[in-house]
Amino acid sequence: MMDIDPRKYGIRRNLSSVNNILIILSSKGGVGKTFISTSLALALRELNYSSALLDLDFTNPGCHLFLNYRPKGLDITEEKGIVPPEIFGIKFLSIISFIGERPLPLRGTDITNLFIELLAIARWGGAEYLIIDTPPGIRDEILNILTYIDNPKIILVTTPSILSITSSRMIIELLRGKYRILGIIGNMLVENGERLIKNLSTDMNIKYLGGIKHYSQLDNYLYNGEFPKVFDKYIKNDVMDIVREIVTSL
Amino acid sequence: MVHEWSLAQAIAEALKSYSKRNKISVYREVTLSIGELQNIDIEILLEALENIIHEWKEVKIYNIKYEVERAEFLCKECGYRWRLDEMSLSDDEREAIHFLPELIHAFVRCVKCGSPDFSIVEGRGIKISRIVVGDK
Ligand SMILES: Nc1ncnc2c1ncn2[C@@H]1O[C@H](COP(=O)(O)OP(=O)(O)O)[C@@H](O)[C@H]1O
Ligand SMILES: [Mg+2]
Ligand SMILES: [Zn+2]
Repeated sequence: MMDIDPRKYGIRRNLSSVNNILIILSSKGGVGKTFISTSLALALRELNYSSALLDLDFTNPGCHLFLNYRPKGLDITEEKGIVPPEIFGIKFLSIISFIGERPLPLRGTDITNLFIELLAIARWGGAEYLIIDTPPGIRDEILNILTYIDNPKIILVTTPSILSITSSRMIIELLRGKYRILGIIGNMLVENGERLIKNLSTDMNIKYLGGIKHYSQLDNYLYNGEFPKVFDKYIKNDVMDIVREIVTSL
Repeated sequence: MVHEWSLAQAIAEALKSYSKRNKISVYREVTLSIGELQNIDIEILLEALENIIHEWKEVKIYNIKYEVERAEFLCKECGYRWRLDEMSLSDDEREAIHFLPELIHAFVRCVKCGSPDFSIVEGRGIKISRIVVGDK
């Protein structure tokens, strides 16, 4: 018995057609990773890049709620692998397209298997940017990204809360030196919160990519499935500066 | 075109890389172990694989065999072991599992005690299980 696992070779093959893989990361939950991942994918599309979005949060997938995408039943195309559906011009892959909003209880080895299998069969058709939204924690999903994806470019997200800033410090400590951190985005900024994040970025020598204010109505828009519309109207402008900062730092 | 193609491609890449690493250029036999859970169309998989390998110049494989590994599940709570035929799955569910075997966790629980905490012991996916190096 030898047991070679062929899937790992598939991952490399499929991702080799993607120019830039951006990992949106924070080990703390609720800071806006999913909001920012979706917004970046939409903004890149707006700038005429071919843009793809992968929701790797198998427990609490959320990008589909921002995109107001509610598939009925299995929604993927099989073509020498699987081709994700296009939502608002973004190639969008989420566990939602396979199981809808069902709970998916997985142990660590299952998560790793699911991760490897998904990336081994997903075909991105030469996307220029693939944004990966991640779950909180520093566990299987995150470690898998670091281990199996070549040259991931990491974008950290934090709020001005001391809980989030402390968490960011720890994750920077873990990543720096070995992995490429493009910078950090401040989210849900109120009053002088941005100062705290700028201090963190100076302290830790990580580029500050820009900040996004707190939108008091965001969850109402989400609830009504209006995020894509509101994005075009208000949020896009706030996000564009960050996107330009990211594109030029690559 | 189906996703068996991407699996064939992955197997081919794996074999190529293995050959390079171990400086092997001729195989008498390569055996694939194919998990029942993934419900692969074996004909398509083998055809795709032969097509890819046929183009190769550096590596030659004379015979590709396969064996199907039956799926088995184990409940971590009550210890019950069961097989695929003890559960009923819809077509969409089967299809989802065909792509991503772990998705079975979204559709079933232990058939004995109802626990969501079970594992796939055998028969989940594809492996290259055996090779025989050398001419035919
Ligand atoms: N800039 C913002 N202004 C207002 N609400 C926000 C903002 N960013 C995120 N939220 C809200 O905060 C909650 C958590 O955001 P989410 O993107 O799901 O975080 P994470 O993915 O890091 O867990 C959501 O309800 C989201 O709508
Ligand atoms: Mg999230
Ligand atoms: Zn049980």
